[in-house]
Amino acid sequence: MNKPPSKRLWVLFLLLGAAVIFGLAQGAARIPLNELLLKENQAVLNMRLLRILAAILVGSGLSVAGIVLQAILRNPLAEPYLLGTSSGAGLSAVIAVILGVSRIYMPLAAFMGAVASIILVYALASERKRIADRSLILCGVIVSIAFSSIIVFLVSLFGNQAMHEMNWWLWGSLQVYDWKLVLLVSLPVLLGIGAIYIFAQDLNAIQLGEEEAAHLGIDTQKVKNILIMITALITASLICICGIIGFVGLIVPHMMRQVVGANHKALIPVTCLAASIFMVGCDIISRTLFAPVEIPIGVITAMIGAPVFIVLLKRGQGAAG
Amino acid sequence: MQKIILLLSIVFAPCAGLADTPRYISLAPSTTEILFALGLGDQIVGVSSYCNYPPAARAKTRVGDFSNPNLEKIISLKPDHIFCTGLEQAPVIEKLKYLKINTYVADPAGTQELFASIAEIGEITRRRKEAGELIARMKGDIERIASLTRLIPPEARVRVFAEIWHEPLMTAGKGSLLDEIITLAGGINVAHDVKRPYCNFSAEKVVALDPQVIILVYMDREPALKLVEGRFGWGNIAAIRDKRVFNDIDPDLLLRPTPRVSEGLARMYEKLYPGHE
Repeated sequence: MNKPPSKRLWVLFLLLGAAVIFGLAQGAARIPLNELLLKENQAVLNMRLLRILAAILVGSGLSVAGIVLQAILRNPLAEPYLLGTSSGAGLSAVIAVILGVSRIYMPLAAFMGAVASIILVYALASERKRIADRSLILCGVIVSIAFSSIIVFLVSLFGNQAMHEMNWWLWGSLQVYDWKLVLLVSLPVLLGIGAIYIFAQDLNAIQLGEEEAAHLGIDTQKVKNILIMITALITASLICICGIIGFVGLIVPHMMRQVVGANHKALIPVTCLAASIFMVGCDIISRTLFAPVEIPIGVITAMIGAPVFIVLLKRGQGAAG
Repeated sequence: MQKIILLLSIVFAPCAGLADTPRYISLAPSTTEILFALGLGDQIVGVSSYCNYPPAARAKTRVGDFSNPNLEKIISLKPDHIFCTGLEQAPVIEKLKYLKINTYVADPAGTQELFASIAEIGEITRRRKEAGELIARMKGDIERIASLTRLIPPEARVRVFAEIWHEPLMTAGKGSLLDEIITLAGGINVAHDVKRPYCNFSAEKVVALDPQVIILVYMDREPALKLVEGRFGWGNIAAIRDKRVFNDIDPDLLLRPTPRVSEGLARMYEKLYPGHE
């Protein structure tokens, strides 16, 4: 397990490349490999490419958001949707459907809902410009529960269309139709990941404890605020294109900590790559297993993520004990 | 539970009213339409909040939504018979049976089963004659279009993709009413090979199947073409190139097993073969 970090990155890069090629070759429309590059199959190939790009974006964005929240809240259960973004986006989308807003504006509605819920959670949790980790988590959970109950309430009142929208919100989907939207979303996500990487050392210090970090000359409150806002922006942007995809942001960071340790300088790039591979793989399964029927991506990530994680955890415990 | 019923029956006894006219509750939009079509509107004492047709159904007492009817409310209305569908209503049906309330479950997956349901409902409600006439009328309307389309050779049939929902992309496969409507209207449902009535569907498969008509089975204010033409990779689908994407057929006509199925079929036929009337 003690390979030098650069070698590990190369292995992951190669694996990702293989996953991308496999993902391009496989799909519901059965096209023989030698015909894949023909002009008449261009559209299908482009669609697969866009999905793969979305999968990579979602995987790396959510997993890095997960890393940050786990480190600064010092809570292993922290995940990107902890701060109420998911239910905020879902609620906003369901309301938009009920109001008869055209679905062209649905991503915007989801984004605004996610941002609004983060602002709400932050406002509720802050006390004299300080934010305690615990109250942030609690406020996030409470806002999530409250919003979820409003969603179910609205669905039971308004029925069918709202229910469809809730379904999308619950299980997520990498079926993206709009390449401009993917491009637009990739901007905050990639910039966010880059910014988080710059804070890698600070994350290492904060992870030890706020006092220790303060001793090292880090303005912990400020760094925490900045990082939470960045993760929120990443998550809110990703929700626009894919709804909610659970497990990636929770499990992949833990898996990679088992492999490379808790140093964020190494953890962040390795997790980005591993999560991308994971998402591209899950997406391939979701669209080919029962093709042309698609299985919701969230179901696949949970079904594969859970057992793999347990194996890694047990192994880690064995090595430690 | 029985004590509650007893208590309720005492409380609500005064509003029970005329004892000899049967009282019906319909928990599904489809059975509500059938009951109204059999001329039983006056005897319906409760409907679900989803029951929106005919307009008179909206004025009826609501007993809860489709999957969550209120049992107390139902009991208080003293129904002689309850009509519902099997899908999401299974847990409720169990409870109704436990309470020994007469319950009829109509779950027709196609027109033949729909005729059978209507006949059975006619039997239960003692409207055998009306049911017979209704079925004959529906069969006549359907046959009028089926006779036009029967002779269309397979290669000349229009390939149709029915989009039930956009995200995730959903369609209707074999065993759904919609699949049968498309077939009767002389089209080929491109998702016919999917052995599930309703399911998520692959967007790239739609591109590969190249439908000539796309029917969106949901409401939106925007014109139908605008909703799909911007989709990445879909630009070359025949339906989009020829601007034959429609969302102006009322979804209820295509999804609900009701006497209005023939109307849905007629609308579908107009879309697939315009000017062939």
